[in-house]
Amino acid sequence: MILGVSKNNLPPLGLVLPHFILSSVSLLIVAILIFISSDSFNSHYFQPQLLSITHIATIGFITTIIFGALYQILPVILGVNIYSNKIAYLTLVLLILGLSFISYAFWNFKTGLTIQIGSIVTLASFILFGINYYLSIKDNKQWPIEADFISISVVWLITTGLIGVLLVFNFSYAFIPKSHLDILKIHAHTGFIGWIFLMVAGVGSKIIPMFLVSHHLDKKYLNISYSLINSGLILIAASFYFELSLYVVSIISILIIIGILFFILYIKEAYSKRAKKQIDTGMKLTIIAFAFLLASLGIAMIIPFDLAFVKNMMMVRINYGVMIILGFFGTLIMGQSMKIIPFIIWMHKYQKIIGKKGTPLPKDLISDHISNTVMNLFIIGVIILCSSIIIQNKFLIEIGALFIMIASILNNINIFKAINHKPLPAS
Amino acid sequence: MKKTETTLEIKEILKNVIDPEIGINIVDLGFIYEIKGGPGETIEIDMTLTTPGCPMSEIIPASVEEVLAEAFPGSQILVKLVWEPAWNPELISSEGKRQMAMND
Repeated sequence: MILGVSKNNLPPLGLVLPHFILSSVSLLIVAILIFISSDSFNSHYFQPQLLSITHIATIGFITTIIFGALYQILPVILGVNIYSNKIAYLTLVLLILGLSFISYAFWNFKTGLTIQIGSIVTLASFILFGINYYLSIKDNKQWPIEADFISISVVWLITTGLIGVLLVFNFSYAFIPKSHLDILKIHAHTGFIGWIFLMVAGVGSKIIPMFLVSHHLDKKYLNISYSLINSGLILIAASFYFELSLYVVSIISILIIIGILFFILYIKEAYSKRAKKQIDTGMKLTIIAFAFLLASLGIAMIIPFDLAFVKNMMMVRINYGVMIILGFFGTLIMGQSMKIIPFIIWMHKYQKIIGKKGTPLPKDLISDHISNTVMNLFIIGVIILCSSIIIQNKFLIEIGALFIMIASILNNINIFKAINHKPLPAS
Repeated sequence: MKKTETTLEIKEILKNVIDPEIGINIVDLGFIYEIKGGPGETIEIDMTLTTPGCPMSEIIPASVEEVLAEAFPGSQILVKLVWEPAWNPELISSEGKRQMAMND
């Protein structure tokens, strides 16, 4: 069986589904905001509209879906259910509330009470998620390497939220004796790599081989990846804090890059040992996401160097952010949600007649034609967006955003198609 | 009815149970390890899934039980989920491999 769900440990559809829907709607909002604020991509990354878009993307689009997916997947990875559905609901409400305050405050550059409330509410949501996760796993005897990835990522999530609160209060009270931008870099790295990447690696290293039906994989790649990324992350945070030169940061970041490469090696092995040779759209997107990840790593490597042929190195940094958020995480999430959402809905609609003839399969709940179109538009959109940021072309940025917007609308249509699927009677 | 015929008949019935993600029936996927008994007596099935520790393990065994109970109303059906030996893709039948577009 692929996704660890059963009658007894199935989290309520009303808990998991809103996470997926909110995530998908957030992506649409991100695309619309990129479209209407294309000018902001020609400036510094510490720019109100960009900060707002980044938070909607990382919290609304990515974190929301991770929370929902983890409630569903925890039984598969650790053999336990989420401790409390009520805490999970409260976590989501606080997350959306906090994000609304933060994104509104950033967009309008209000550095006072609004963003302070938003950051505290968001941190409260992260802490509740952490407590719920800890209570779910604390007595667990089964402890694979995937659990290490997930557990440490939750620690990084709370660290990211805490640094975010400090940064927000630093706007008004300037109590941090360090450069605000350096602390922002720590916040970004603990968020992108510590929280999102390590969580994606923990969950992905379990479910990607499951979807590909791959066996006999060498988990030493994951052990090395885990150690390198975490040690690199601690060192890089320290180097930002102590304001070491960008070259030192680059040398340390090689640790993280090698760690990520080991994770990619694990996925490559899963791909080459797959029993399921036919790759559906969801898995195609997953594989393409790793190509974007490699491209992001390439961009990360050139950031410290002042390249003569690049008009503005700040654009390379923004490009790196867009490539990793939309290119890697976005493509991966879109692909995996095409697998997971139909499965969850299918489980709720068909679990009682699974052995009967004529029962549709999860993939039948969504349109493969729409999925394919979503894939093409999204990939083209991300490539146009990233390229146009480098060449600073406002019109092309809008075109890229438009592609992502249409992809996002179609993806939402596909999700609602699955939700509205009427169960067919068993023959 | 001879034992082999009974086993074949049970396997044929179990082919109605499909793994929803892979889209192939559990017999061709090699999930069925052992079949004991037959019509009018207790039917025991030892089966596995692609990965151990999967909490969904209730759904497919329950479906196995359901389809067999329907086909053999006079029999008691006992389905046991086993993780040893661990399932691996080599257990997929030629037909299963063909359906998965797998190269033999």
